Amino acid sequence: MHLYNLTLQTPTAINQAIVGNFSGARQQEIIASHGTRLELLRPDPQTGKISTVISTDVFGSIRSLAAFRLTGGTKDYAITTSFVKLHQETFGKSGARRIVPGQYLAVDPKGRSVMIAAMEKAKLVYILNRDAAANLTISSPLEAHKNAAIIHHIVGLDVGFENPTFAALEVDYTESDQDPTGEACKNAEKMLTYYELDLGLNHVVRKWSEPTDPRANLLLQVPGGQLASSDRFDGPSGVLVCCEDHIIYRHMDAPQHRVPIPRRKHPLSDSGRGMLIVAAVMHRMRGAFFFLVQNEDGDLFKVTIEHEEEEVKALKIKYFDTVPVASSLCILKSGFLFVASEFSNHYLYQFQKLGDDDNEPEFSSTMYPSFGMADPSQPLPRAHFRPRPLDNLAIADEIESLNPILDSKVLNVLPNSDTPQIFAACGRGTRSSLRILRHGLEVEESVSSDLPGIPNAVWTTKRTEEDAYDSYIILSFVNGTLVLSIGETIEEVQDTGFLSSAPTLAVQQIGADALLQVHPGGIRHVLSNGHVTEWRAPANKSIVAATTNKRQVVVALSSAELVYFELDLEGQLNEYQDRKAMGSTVLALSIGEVPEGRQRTPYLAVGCEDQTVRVVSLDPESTLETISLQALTAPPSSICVAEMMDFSITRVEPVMFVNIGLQNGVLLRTVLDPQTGQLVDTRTRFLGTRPIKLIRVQIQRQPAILALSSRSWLNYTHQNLMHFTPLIFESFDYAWSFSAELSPEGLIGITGSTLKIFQIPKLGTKLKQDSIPLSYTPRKFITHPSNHYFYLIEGDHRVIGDDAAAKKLGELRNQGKDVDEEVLELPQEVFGKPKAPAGTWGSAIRIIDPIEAKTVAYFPLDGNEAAFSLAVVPFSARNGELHLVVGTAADTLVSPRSCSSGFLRTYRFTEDGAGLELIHKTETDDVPLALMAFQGRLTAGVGKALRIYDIGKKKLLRKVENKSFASAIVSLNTQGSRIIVGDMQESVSFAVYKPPENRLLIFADDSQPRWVSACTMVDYNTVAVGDRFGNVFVNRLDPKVSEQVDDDPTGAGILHEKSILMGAPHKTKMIAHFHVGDLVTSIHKVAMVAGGREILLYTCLHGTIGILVPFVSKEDVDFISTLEQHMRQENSSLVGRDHLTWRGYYTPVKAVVDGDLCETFAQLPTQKQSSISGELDRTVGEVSKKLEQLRVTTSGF
Amino acid sequence: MTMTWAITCSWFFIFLLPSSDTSAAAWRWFPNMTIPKSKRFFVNSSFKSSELRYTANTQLEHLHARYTGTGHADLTKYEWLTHQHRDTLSSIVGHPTLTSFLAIADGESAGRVKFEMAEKMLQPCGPPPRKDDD
Repeated sequence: MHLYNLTLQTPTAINQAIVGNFSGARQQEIIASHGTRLELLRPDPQTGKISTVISTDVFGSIRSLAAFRLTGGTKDYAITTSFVKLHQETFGKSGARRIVPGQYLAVDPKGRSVMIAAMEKAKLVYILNRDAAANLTISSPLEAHKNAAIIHHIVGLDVGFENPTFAALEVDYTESDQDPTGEACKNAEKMLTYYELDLGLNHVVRKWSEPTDPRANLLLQVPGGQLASSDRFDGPSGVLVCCEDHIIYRHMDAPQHRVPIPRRKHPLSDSGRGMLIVAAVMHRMRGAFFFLVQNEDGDLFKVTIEHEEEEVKALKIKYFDTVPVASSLCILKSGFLFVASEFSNHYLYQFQKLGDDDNEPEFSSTMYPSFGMADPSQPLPRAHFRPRPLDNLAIADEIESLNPILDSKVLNVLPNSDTPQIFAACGRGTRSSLRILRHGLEVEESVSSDLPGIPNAVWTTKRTEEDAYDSYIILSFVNGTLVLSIGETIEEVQDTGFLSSAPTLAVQQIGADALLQVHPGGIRHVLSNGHVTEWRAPANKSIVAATTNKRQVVVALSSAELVYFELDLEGQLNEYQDRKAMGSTVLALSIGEVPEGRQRTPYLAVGCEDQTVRVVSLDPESTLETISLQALTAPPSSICVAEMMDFSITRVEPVMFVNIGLQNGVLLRTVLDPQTGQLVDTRTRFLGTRPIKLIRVQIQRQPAILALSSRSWLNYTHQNLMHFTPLIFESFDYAWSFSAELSPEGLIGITGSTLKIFQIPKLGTKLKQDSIPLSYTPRKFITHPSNHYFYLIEGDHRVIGDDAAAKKLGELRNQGKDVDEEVLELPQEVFGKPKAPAGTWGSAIRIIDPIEAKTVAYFPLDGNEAAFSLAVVPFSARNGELHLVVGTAADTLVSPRSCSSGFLRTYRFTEDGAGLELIHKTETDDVPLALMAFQGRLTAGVGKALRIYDIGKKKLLRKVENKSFASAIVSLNTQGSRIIVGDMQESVSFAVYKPPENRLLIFADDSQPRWVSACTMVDYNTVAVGDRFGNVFVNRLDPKVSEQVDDDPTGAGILHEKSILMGAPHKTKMIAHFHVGDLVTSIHKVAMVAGGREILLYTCLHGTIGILVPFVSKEDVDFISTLEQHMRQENSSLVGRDHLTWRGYYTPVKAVVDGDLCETFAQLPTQKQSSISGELDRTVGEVSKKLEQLRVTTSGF
Repeated sequence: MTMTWAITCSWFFIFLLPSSDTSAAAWRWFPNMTIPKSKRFFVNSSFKSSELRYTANTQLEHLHARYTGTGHADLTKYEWLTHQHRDTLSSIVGHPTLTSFLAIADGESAGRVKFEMAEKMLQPCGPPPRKDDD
């Protein structure tokens, strides 16, 4: 088995984001790290929309990012990562380990040096400089190691132009490792240490080290240093130490200032819990500066420092606003705040004000004795605030993010869809959602209006060449033409010179200021003065097809003749003296646009009824001569010639594509060789069941092609690469570009008798998302075999359930305590639920209708129970009646795993599945983490035990049990009497149920420990598994063993076989392995294309969706693996990670080809492309065709 | 999906050295280090001159000083376990997917998970056992 890995959706989580001027434009940009990808985002200050400029896979794991700027420079550089790699410094090759630096990065604000630190001990300092040619140079590293020190955070101090200094938060464990009483550990001090890089002596010295709060977690740079021009100080310099519940200002030889972190006064919140700052950003503006810090609830606080010269007078903190909890905050000079959420969608906010003069209580260090440092070991009195809706910020834009995907299903439930949808349970807490992902571009409809009849075509046209917007809409009906003018309103006009008594075949704004209409009887040329010249078709012949551009017109007559017209310099349309007989009825015609600076386009493509497409010359020297011919598999229905950019073919000029739509719904895309006129590099694609219509349109001022069949598709260029994506909209009968003041980039289409104007807002996206909100983090969901509902369980740890909350509030009110009602009324989707102590759970069962995209029923669980697993079981003891069994546990603790009692709740379906009725609850001794229907009974993985239950009157009845699993059963799959059991730590075991003896026996397992997170059966002997460290692998059982086990009626043979390696008597063999780089949360065996092959689709925690495609032939394997080898050499990763070691991070990669790497072939320079394809004995076109084919035929993407 | 059960007490015990070096497992303890062939097996070199043995030992000491977490013949169970836990904890902080996974399972923010893991590195397995005075 050989697999081809392709990523359909790249990770959407942002681990870190930095801001700077990266592309050299005078505009700030954001670089976001998606873990394995880097993306450059550009917020538009005018519109407030954020767009992706470039995104690239680094084939490695990005640990940290920092931007720096060399003194006097205008471009910021991103360390370890910039899209043009400036410099790469290797300091550790063995991955993210304890003493490999890279976890923390700190730069000197003047861009003179950088410190790179590990979790423990290692700190390297590099000096950054420029050589004579202004290139970035980097010194050899200076070590600032400290043995046995755990590093919590580092930051570069702002010291102006004095020696660069870094501050580190360290804890030494030498003493606690030696002291058996545990006193040393209790008294271990967290040290704030300054490291100074002496630029003169070229070494690093430990300058200052003082103990600080033992619960400190984050350091923030405070501006400092003198301006060169004046004596004024930018700020006091030093650091802010963020600790649990407090923020402390610290600097060498300066008094400390401490303020409490205000907290919400929620009646239900856990008051013993500390407040931690998880994200922070400092912003300077015109000599002043402030900090925005964020706590775990998402509340932003503004921190300011009052200072005189270098002396700090007060540290102040006040509530600012509440936004989602961020992994990074970025403030842009244009007045935007980018919040890269740790889970779910990311947001761009615009600052409305800076919270300077509002009524929020402000807490200052001067309010406390000795600036809050009277007794540093004691907390300051609690400060409180009341959260409120956004006041200082306003949402400007939102970036959709799937992170985290916790479970998914792939199936086709939506009506009118021929490909399956991906349903992903995403998000966390109150911001969770079930998302429906459909392959295609989102369409925004702006106008929809009914027409008197059913038109068969629509056009829009400008009046003159210079017009910015279209003036007319022309609708062609069976027996007439309707012209509408576009103005304040859209209304019918008569005096345009167009013939209204006949249908129209083509409309064109021709020459400088004339219009042209082609109808079956002839051609009307409407000049700007209203004068009409008409060319009439010969008697008894009519025009059947026409194609036009700014200077040329070609029409086909019913006698299979072509007539060619060209505009002369006076603006007269002249007929070419000869007519060309084609010999077969012409079905479709197309010419491209006139290339800039030319008189004409030299080629015409003609599709004939005899299933051929001919390329005919329009060159004056060989007018209407046939140049080349291509045979087709069906009669063509439409042809479209368009010149589009595609970097995978050439970077120099647009490529002339001839798109041929066939009557059977297949689209052929060929490239027209500009020199010879030959059609080369044909690629085919099935679009839908109806004959295809092709229309050339403009999308973002670039030519694009709309292909209409039973689905509408758009072929466009985005970031210089060709995309072919369906539109998620009704199917169209005809469509055209539409440009008006209100929608400059629109399209117009007709479906039946309705006229629609629409836009495509997000180019480049492949998946359209619709979401259904949930109340808690989704855990799992399943489908029902006969109805279309989804049954979903959700639950959150450290959250108090709604029932319990109401009860507790009632108690508080009864006790006469002061309950802040306003806080309770705040929307939980924004502000979240109050945090509760460990062991408290909020959980529910939800029934969702995916077609209507709404919740049908919602059943919260009471008694501090949380749901962990569910299954639909047809119990044979109840004549196969379907029951829903939900595995729950009460008072669950996560680490170590414990619960007061587990339960199996058995429900009966009511109202055709829209409701549930609890039949009974069965107690279990551990948490049931996996449930599955098995031969008319229920199989449950309860902790370490695998059990089979049957239904009884009062309870489920335990029938058989096997307790020999290692840690906990997390996944179950079955075929026949075989059960595949995934263990939390010990990989996948094969078990069999032998009914005669009522035995449940394990007969095979894996020889490697694997932390199973998702598992599915590929066939009877093969499983595909995802593990917690981001690997996907395939294990196979020897067919002989399989047969032997199946032939043994009682299982006595297995029972008495000798175990191997303290496990089962047989071992499975690993046949494929691949490191994805994201934690796999579900894996499915599905066909993504109607009639296509079955593939493995996996979803990952950080939002990755990928597929593993089995290769069909040995030749393909050889070809693609050789290509991969070449690509590994050519395309070195941006972060310098060796591709082979990255894909074999934990276990060497085996029998899997990285399609993402192979697809970067399209981005290589032409020379390299041809040298690689030369080595493979192929042409460049053949290589890219093969890659495209692999993608399209298996995923449709 | 088994999100909720991300953490069990036993997840500490995984041997989580994400070594990218796919060659012989024996070299995992000494990444990026080349030792002259003659000095690789210091145990077997006892028959050689005492000087050689001395240099081999200093080299090993140097190794231990340089690569925290490197094992040696007299490693106690407690020390070994502490190393394993510190390696695992720093690996969780260093791999964002693992941090997110634990954060979701435990209902905490990713920032809190990172902080608590780093805090735990101080003494992951409790105080060291008392030494016998013998």
